[in-house]
Amino acid sequence: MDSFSGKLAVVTGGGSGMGRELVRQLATQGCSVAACDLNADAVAETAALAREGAPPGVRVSGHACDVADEAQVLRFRDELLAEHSSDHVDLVFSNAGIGGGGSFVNDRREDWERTFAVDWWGVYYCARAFLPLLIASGDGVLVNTSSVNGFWATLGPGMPNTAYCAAKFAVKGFTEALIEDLRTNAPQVRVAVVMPGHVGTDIVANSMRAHGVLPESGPLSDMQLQRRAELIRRGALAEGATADEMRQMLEKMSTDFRDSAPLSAAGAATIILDGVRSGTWRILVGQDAVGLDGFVRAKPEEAYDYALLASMAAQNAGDASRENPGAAAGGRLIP
Amino acid sequence: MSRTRYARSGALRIAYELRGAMHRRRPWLVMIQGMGLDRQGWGPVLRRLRRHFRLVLVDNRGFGQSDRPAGWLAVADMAGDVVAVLDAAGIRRAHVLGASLGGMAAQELAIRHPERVDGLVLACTTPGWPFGYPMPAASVRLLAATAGLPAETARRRHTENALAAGPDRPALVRRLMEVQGSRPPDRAILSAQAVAGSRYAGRFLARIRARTLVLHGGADAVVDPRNGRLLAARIPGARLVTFPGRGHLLFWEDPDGFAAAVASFLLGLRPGS
Repeated sequence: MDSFSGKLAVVTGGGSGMGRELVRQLATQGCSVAACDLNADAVAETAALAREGAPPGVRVSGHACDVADEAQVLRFRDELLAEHSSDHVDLVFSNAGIGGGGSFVNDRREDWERTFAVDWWGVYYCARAFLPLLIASGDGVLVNTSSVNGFWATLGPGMPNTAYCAAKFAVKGFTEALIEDLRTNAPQVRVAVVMPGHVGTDIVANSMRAHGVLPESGPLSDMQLQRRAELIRRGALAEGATADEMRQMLEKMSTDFRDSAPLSAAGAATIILDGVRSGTWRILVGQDAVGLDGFVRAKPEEAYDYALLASMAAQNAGDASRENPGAAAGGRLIP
Repeated sequence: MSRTRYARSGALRIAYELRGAMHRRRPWLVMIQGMGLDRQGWGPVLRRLRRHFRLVLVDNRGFGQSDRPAGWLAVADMAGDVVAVLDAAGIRRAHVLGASLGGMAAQELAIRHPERVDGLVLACTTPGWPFGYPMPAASVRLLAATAGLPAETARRRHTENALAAGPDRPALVRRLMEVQGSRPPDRAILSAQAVAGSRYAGRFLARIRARTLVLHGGADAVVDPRNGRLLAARIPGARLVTFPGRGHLLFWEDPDGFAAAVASFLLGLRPGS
């Protein structure tokens, strides 16, 4: 695919982050886009932004949809075909994703299953719904967003991420398995799997909204009161914390995640689109993702040896240090 | 103890204290404490350091008399608090000493505000995962296991873990429990500090221009001692002093050695002062 101009793309999770930037950059490059998101206002804003930067003739539509609900995915499909007067789509970016349910041991089963549902079943339902339309395109691409957590199943020491990792491994496995299936049975469609590292997005805030944790303005709902009690029990919030304090804490948590990322959402979207254009099926997003992928492939048994990984990260950071992490500790005085 | 002063950092009031401010020829030394301790947590090392420096003791946000953030904080916020304190106290430039989590804040301060940092001392600290060695697994498990314990029991377990085994340990644990017991922090701020430390990634160490001294206990169970070497190797021109057999709270375990290392390094920068 040399150019996106004149095509029609579907982007899930288009309300923010990499999804929003994909929509904007596709529109700028002359591609019509149907974007969906859990948050109808956010995706409407994305559509408005994308239209501003788009050449004439490009149509951008925003749709409310929970990809974890197959009925909503099918409704999204029907809406967009009507709105774009099309009988096919050329590109599908299954980008929507949330976090949560990190600990299988401690976290609530509902949170675990909600994360898994969005991150895995969302990708699956979209593939089911849109594959026939990609086949109808004659030159379709299905782009599924996995993660570094699709090949490396932790966030680091003391930070398990079980629901997200299980779903992202599934996305990667499914997408890779489609390579041969499509080659044999639908050669007019190809797939790509996207594996971002730490990208500056609002996934933390959006995940909290999706799990009903993040209080908007006004009094706390019953569910949020329950969440607050839980946060207090776990020691994440002080005894007697107000709704406002809970909001402040969660918002700060989210902005810190976004602002400390080495790569912006816009930078990530550019890497993804370059990858799709070039025809590759493996799209690693960010130096951290590239480094981690190399390490895990070279030393699969050491994937969860954080000390070894640390030395890899240091080298990727372009550090002058030649510290050998295998060396013994100690050393008395180094002048 | 001298008077508590306050600086405003965003919405929060940050408490600090100046000691020996009348000795105008002595250089300023700002001291940033680590997880779980307020400015009283420096213990016996203070007496020794105030012979050489005018001290600025900061209560980290959520500790001592500083306001409590809503339950989430980042190392960069702690560095910002120190800048607010320096501004409030009218100090343009100071030596900066940070221990453990406070050492991360000190790194961040030296990276983001090089004009405020004269000499830098990083004690028992790390550039943070994934750029440094992670917290030893036993301490990670201890953090997880103590989350459900009564606050005092949890503090005692962490205090024991932060001191190297030896005949002095029971007495030091008693004194540190007293220090922490006078103004006990709530669990939320402790866990916010733990999260801040686990999320800190000091990827720009090579940008530090301050003359730097790195101190580390060879038997530190909380911050892998190999991180001392990493810091010293990555910060241009940095010096490393390790204290064999000492634990994480080496300024309690060997206050003489600690103060001597700090003073000789920092004062060596300014002959005649």
